[in-house]
Amino acid sequence: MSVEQAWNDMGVHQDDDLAAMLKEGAIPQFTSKNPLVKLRKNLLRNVLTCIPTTTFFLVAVFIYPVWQAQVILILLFVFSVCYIYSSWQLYKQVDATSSSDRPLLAELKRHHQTIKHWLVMQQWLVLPLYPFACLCGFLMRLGSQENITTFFSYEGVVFIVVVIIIVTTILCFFATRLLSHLFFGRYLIRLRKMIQELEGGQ
Amino acid sequence: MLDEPIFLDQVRQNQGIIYKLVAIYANDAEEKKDLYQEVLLQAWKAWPQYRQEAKFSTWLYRICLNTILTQKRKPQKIDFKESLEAIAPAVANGSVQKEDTVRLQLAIRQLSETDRAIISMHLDGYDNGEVSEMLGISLNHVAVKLHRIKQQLVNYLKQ
Repeated sequence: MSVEQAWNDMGVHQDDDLAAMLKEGAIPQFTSKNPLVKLRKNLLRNVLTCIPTTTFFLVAVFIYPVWQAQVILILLFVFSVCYIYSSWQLYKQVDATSSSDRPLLAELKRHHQTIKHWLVMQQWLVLPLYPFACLCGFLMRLGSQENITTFFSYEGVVFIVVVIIIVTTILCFFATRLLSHLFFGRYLIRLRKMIQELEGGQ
Repeated sequence: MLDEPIFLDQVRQNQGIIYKLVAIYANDAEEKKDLYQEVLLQAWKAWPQYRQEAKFSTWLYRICLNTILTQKRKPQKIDFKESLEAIAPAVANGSVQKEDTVRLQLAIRQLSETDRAIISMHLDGYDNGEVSEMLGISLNHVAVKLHRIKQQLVNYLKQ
């Protein structure tokens, strides 16, 4: 028996699990576990959850008559709008269906590039949000303009605040990176390895 | 959908493709079911774009490979210890015993993921030109890789 024949014999074998799935009405009910499908869902969820928060930032600018808080709220509003816009653009771009028209190498590259794009977006656009949101929350808790002016009048406070913002921004950057790596790291390494294998020697 | 019975009929006739490709990539029974589901779902979604001029088997093959290799899967565990030495000469000269089908499958599973795709297409009768087109790599590169994969397969079997 030839190797090809042995290989073909494998295909003759019928798998009960597979046969059970080939029933009318069953396939459209399946839930996709494709990473790009998950990514799309995640992007849509981010957009939907960011809209009320962004609206709050805008409304808060008019509610809190403290200029320091207003400046930070405007910054937060701008970051949030950028994040929503980028997420929505990426959501529209991502095609989560496998096409028979695309060769395997192109398909691997498409997955790799899309997820990398998302990771970079998460790292750079989200990281200023957390430290500024914390600072804004702190200022709001101080309450009046008078309290804030008194607080900032203490020697070295501005310096300490700036240092805290820088440190928390760096921490947020690495925390986002670590979480992204935990979620997609191994998958990206595998994709890159396969791309290199296919491209090697070309 | 009116098309569903036709689609299911075509898939049933070609389910061997799905079975074989999933068998050389899935790491456990749970992952095998997940891959079956994903392949069937992706094929179903792509079905409206299927053009009759292409063979259904080739179309399904491409969907299968593209889906399986881009799926997030568990790291591979080689969970068999037995020596595959016995069929090494048979693979080298192009013949194996019928009962060694499973052993051949296990040997293929030791290859890298892209090499498994190339050898499976080759064993399914696709010529180098078709393999090159399906993978998106040059014809020369396919020939070089295929030669190396065959040697590698023999070496794995000798281990």
